[in-house]
Amino acid sequence: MVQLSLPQHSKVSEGKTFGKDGKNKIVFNVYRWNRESGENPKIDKFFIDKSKLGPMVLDALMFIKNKIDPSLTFRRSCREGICGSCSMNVNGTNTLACLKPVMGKEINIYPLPHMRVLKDLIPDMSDFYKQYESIQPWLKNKTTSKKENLQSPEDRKKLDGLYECVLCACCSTSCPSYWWNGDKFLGPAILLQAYRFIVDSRDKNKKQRLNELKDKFKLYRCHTIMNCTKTCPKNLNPAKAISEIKKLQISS
Amino acid sequence: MNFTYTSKWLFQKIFAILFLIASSYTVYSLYGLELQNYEVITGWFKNYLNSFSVLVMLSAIILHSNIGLSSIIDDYIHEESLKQKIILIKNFFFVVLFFITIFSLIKLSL
Repeated sequence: MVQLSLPQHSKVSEGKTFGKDGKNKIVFNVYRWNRESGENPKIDKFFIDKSKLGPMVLDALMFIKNKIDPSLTFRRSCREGICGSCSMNVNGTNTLACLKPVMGKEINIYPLPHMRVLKDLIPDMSDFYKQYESIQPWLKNKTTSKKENLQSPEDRKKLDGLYECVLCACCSTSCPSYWWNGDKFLGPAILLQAYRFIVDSRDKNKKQRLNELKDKFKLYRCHTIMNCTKTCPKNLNPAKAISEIKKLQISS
Repeated sequence: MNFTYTSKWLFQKIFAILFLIASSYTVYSLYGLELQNYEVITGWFKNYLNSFSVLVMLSAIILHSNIGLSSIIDDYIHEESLKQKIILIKNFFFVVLFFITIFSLIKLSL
């Protein structure tokens, strides 16, 4: 049954404050939680001079980690929206911190919603990756030819808007259906990837892939809420990919 | 196409379209009638096309809601035994509702 009230240990309280408010200062409210402390999560406030910051939220987080509080923990790698590591919730929207500009006087930073938190801004992605593995995200083709597996420009075009996904999980963790049934529903990111292999002309396993998804939980928990498409930091459209899978299910 | 959840999903869409068509016809055919007058309304039901459109409209919305409610139950109730009981009650409710609809329409149109 859905739990409507928060468990006691997940209630967030006020944490430490670093720096003072002033002219040209921006306040970063950052979610902090350390399993080892045994305490509830806290929101730390960091008042930082705008002139010292880079343009993106990730720059601000790196500034905090390097200059103010080295214990702040978050994932990051490429700094340019390619690796998908720095996905987090900034001002109520899931996004990549490296693609989100620092704007306004106050910025609230939380980990991706409805994921188990390991520490501070780091969610546990193991279930998400297991779901990704379940769709067998590789080309399946029995051809033993050693020649290049060519694709026509038209077929290649079908992969546009699909192959760009960096698996940051922003879409999946913004989906209410994934919040309630994250263990059974594959979620928008994984379904977009599933569709990417279904429409790939080099893959010869389309029918089996569609059969695998013929399940009321894996696919049909999507109720076209469209949060996934709205939040995607790469401007992809997982909702459309899901509806295409549903259409293919009917014709198959 | 096997009768799987895909069929249910498709039927839900079809019932929604049927409901829209039948309700549009019903509203159109009721337009201009004196709706407060009991005799006029019972007279309207005596036309078989009118009562058939109401039958299609109500059946479509009952069947559409039945699938929709099952989906909501699947979404929010995770305990299997409780889910089965609620689905049983829901199905019973919709079957009763369906028979009341048919009985009422037959009574009105004859």
